[in-house]
Amino acid sequence: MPGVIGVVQATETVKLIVGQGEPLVGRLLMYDSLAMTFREIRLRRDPNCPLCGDNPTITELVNYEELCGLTAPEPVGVGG
Amino acid sequence: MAKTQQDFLVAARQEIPEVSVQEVQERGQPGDDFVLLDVRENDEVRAGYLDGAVAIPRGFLEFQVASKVPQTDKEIIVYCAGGARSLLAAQVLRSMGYENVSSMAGGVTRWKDAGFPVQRDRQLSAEQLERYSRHFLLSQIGEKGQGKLLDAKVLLVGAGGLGSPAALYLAAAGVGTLGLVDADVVDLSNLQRQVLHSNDRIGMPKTESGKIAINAINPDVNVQAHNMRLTTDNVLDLFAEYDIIVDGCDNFPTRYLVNDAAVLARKPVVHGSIFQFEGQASVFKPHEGPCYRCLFPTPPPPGLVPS
Repeated sequence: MPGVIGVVQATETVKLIVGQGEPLVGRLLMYDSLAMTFREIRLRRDPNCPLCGDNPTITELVNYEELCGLTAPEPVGVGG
Repeated sequence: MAKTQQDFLVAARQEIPEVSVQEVQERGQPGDDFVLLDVRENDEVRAGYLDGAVAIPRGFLEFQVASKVPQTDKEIIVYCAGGARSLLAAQVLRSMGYENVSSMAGGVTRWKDAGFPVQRDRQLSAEQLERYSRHFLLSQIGEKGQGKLLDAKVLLVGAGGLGSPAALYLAAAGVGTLGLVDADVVDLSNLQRQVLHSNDRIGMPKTESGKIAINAINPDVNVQAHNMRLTTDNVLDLFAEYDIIVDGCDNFPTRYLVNDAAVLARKPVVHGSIFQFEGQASVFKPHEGPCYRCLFPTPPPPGLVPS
């Protein structure tokens, strides 16, 4: 049931808007519904990240179907 | 003999020093050195208060002051509408151990007559005051936070499994503008998890169905239905209209597109993804924390990982 993650996202959004609490910046929350566990791993900004690193090589949008190896540009919907 | 209001005020004036509105104005913004305490009722505060003031209605003073002003040696200047209630409130503070308490003579009325400015929070309607009343009980949100929620613009990428609950809760909480971007129509097989949609809206664009559901919960919310695919051509213009992006998409091209566009546009992304019985969430705040590419610089080969 994806509701758990969607509600976590809504909660984080409200926290960002009102400026309260500790948002999940630099943390990845991992949820396993069969085991019913929440784990968390620390994330760090990668100074060598091609996008947000200190010397970025990606400075504009690219072709994302191609990036993902989808050679035939089939329309890709969003919506889970 | 029973005391009159005059007796109370005379006694208070003997104990509590009064300061003029000019003196308060010259002190500038309250901060580390002193606290400005507004003891009027909530509706009076709503109509305008002094910049930086802490508000505790006089009826709640004894119950709330310790949490809002913990240090009893801190200087407190109390004010009300005309300078009478603040004198009596200051007396109470004295007897609670606050050592350095004064009252602003003439109150907000004299402050305004002197031409000094007052702050006004966003004005909420009677219906909004009731709808969001449970938020006002939470000190971390309050009327100020509700104003921020009503002013906020949030874009939900995907009105599906993740976007559905996110949209419903953000709508109920009173986020003022919710954008939905999705190119799909509601399918019967969606309804097992996509709680934004309903049986009688099968075949309808998900953005339209979502708008109906959101406004059924909260007509305050301005819903922007973007019934389209997110592409390199439209993403930056769309993101420019919003403060926060909630990523509930279901495929890698869109996830990388959202991430890259958000970093370029410097918008925070509230990320979520699910597969079968597992899910994950994070917040990618450009240049303050990692982005999705810091974790996964490039997508997995097609077919290796289900999106």
